[in-house]
Amino acid sequence: MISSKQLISENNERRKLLTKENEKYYDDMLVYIRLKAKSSDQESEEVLMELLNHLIDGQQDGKTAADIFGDDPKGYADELISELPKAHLRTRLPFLSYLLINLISIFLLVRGAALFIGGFFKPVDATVFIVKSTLITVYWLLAIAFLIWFILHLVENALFKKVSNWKDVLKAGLVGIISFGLGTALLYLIPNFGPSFSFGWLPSLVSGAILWLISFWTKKKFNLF
Amino acid sequence: MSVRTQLLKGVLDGCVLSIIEKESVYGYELSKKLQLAGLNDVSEGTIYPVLLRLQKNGYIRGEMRPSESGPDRKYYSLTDDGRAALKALALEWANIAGPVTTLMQRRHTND
Repeated sequence: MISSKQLISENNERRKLLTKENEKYYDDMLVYIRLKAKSSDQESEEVLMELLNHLIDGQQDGKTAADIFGDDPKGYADELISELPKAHLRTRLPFLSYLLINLISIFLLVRGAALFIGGFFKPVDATVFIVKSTLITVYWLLAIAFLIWFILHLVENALFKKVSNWKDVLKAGLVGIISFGLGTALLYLIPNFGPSFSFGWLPSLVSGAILWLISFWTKKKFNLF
Repeated sequence: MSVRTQLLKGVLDGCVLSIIEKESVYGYELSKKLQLAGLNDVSEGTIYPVLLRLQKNGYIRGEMRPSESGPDRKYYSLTDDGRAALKALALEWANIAGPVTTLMQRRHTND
């Protein structure tokens, strides 16, 4: 079997054979299917390769992408997506846990470094309030998930259109600024209360490094990307 | 959608299965063979959703393999389930096609 990684790199090579017009048509379909298909990468990459090969063959017979796949690329892509088998959540679990662990490790590393460097200039308070920290962590995870979803949603809507939309860029920026601002505001809005413990720069750096190694191992072990 | 396209939609699965039964083919070959059989206004792209559905139902098996010349192709072959499904479909089709043809022809002779 040819792996999805090989298929992607072969796809990148073979796409160069398309005419400008056909490439635009195919590229939109490719991005849309990669974003929206809930199937395994293997399955979506295989059908994308078939479509590409068909288009290249058809091109040599003087056909355009619209001749082959119809005048409604989005409708056609939706039809394909609805027929692709859905992957189980279990197969996505390694990737999702990699993302979560990697994010937390980077946060801990940055926090540790900031506390260490900040300590040279003024006394730093390394106290962690459990309730407050949990709330803020949950907020950030949700905010990041929402931002990713929102931007993907904008990209999906922008595909298959003739003109690029500067309003989308503005919307994405605005939503980004608002969620970042709200996250920062929460630091001041939520009072320090309840149980707490001291978590200095060294334990922060060390735990961050350990989690980062775990996320690195997950990536290698499950051959994520 | 033309009447012809709508009529075809229901039986395209059977047409695709019967071509794959003869020999394993890849997408472009399949569309060529459909056209050769006289179904030349089936838009070529329509075979891919059909192929995905037939794979999902376990009627056909697709295998990516390098071709003698050029790129890797996904060749489709019929499974045992597919053979049984095609047999049932062919029988159903005969049950429909016979009476429908008779009805349509009777219409002409009475005019």
